[in-house]
Amino acid sequence: MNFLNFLPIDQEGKINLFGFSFYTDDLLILAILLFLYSQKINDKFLYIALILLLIK
Amino acid sequence: MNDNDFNEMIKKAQSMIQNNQIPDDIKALINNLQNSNNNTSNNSYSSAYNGSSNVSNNFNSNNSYDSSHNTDMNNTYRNNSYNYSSNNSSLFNRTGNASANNNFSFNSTGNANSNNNSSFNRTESANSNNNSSLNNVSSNNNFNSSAQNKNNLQNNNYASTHNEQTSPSFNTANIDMETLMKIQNIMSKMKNTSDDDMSKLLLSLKPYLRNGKKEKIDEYIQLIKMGKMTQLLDLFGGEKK
Repeated sequence: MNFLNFLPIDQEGKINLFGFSFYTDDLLILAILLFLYSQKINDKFLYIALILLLIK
Repeated sequence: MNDNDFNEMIKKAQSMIQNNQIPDDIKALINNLQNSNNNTSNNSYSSAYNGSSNVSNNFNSNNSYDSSHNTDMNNTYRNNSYNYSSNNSSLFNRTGNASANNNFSFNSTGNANSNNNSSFNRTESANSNNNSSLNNVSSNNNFNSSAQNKNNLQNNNYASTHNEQTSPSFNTANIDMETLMKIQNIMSKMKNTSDDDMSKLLLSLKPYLRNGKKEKIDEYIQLIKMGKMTQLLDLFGGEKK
């Protein structure tokens, strides 16, 4: 059983969530951002780097 | 033939040399004769820095150099004294007006008197554009000859108004210990930023990214390091209100 089978992934590898299409690495970066924010990590440069990676 | 006749002959020969009427071989012969005459008469030598006068001193030395001192020479040396002596002849010319950007090095080795310092190295550089400011406050040239050793002693004492702007070397006297400590602190922090947690996280994330983003990871790490450096360099800023 593959976990990715439960995700709406199209043939290009994109995942459609809430009308937005994400790659898996984008979801990973978003998860890291949410985790850092929840842990109240105060490193703005790390946030900047992750956001830059996300919008690339 | 007495000494006066001999001197007149030499003067005539010098005038012919100046007019380029004598070939080089005879010029060298006349110079040798002139030097031998100067040695027998125990002449005292003197020279002065005059703006338009040319002073030619012939004395016993293997070393020959023409030093041209510009009036806009910002000398970076002070109180240089040098002594040299030898047994051969040389021509020593000093002219007051000369071209700018005067770089000369004078090295005297091997022929020095035992009482003198045998090595003399002086490099004089000036960046000037033929301006008129005179920075050589005083210069004294004293030539002494002794009959026993036949040594010629020259002492040049230069006292110049030291212009720090023209000095190529960085004046480290203005750095205090506080600044040094700040620099040390920054350097240590720079070293620590190479293996910080942020870089580790981004590098660990790298294998899970697409190829386009993998290439950007390193750039972003460098960018963020630069950003952190700006925070560290704020220590050098003015007073914080």
